[in-house]
Amino acid sequence: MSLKSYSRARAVHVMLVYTGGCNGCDIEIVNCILSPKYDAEQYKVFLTWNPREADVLVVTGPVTKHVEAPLKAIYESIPEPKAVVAAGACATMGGVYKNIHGDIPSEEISGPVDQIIPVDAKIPGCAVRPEDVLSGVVSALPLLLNAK
Amino acid sequence: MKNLGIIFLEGIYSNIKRILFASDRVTDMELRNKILNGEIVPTDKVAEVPCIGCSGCKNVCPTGAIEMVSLEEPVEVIEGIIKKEKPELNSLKCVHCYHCHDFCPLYALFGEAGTIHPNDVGDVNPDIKELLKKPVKISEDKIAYISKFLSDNAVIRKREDQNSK
Repeated sequence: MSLKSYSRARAVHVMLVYTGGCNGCDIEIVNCILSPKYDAEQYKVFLTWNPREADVLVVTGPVTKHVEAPLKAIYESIPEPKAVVAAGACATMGGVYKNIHGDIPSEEISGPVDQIIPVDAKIPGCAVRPEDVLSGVVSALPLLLNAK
Repeated sequence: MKNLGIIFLEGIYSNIKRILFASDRVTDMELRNKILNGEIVPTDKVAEVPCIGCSGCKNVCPTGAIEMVSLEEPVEVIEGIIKKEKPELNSLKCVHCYHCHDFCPLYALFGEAGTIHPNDVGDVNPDIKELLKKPVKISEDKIAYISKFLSDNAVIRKREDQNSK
């Protein structure tokens, strides 16, 4: 284990981006990082709002046309190595927003997330369970720690 | 001054307790070890034993997230009803509209918990043999609507034909 990965493992920063969902997943993710029961900070995982600090990007919601460009800009401003986690049914396949007209896809949605930025881990659920979010973030960590 | 000393001593005492004995911790150790070892598994979506294998859930699913998987050997639920396949739900395609759960005959006709649920099916233990013998009152047009979906892919085939045109 090199010094870089040793120090990275002791301060993993998660950035949360919401792109037009119903806020259910955002509440669960903030809950799993800051609440005393799930408390991701005991595993040295912290929440940040600065993309230059972040290691893991957690995206919730179907990506609306409005936030497509900001999402790309946020993704590009995160330094390498980085991992992207798509959380919730909307982020994985569009959810009820993409499929709102049945067989005709919605025109306001340009998602799901993996059509815009590359995704490393997908978490199904509506809304996601906090333990699923934690295990999803943990499963994306080897990408960071094994990077040069 | 005396009060300030008491506050200091109380703070020192409670912090030593936190450091040495991990008091005030709310996460249970079982969950902590599961997360660290990567043993968190998704919840069950289908109750395989009470399911009667009618494929209604597959046929009403708007996103095609449910597939019917053949059982290794057919099971006779009651006389005249043989279960040959069980549903399997793909969570990455599911939009959580709960149509499958509400369409499940055990829920819609008998008022028991459905045997498929997009989030967590839980413990479903209805006595099927007794339930299916109970007479149920349904109007004729309702029966015509329900029978379109049960073990019959005509609606789906029609939809595919429309899409291909």
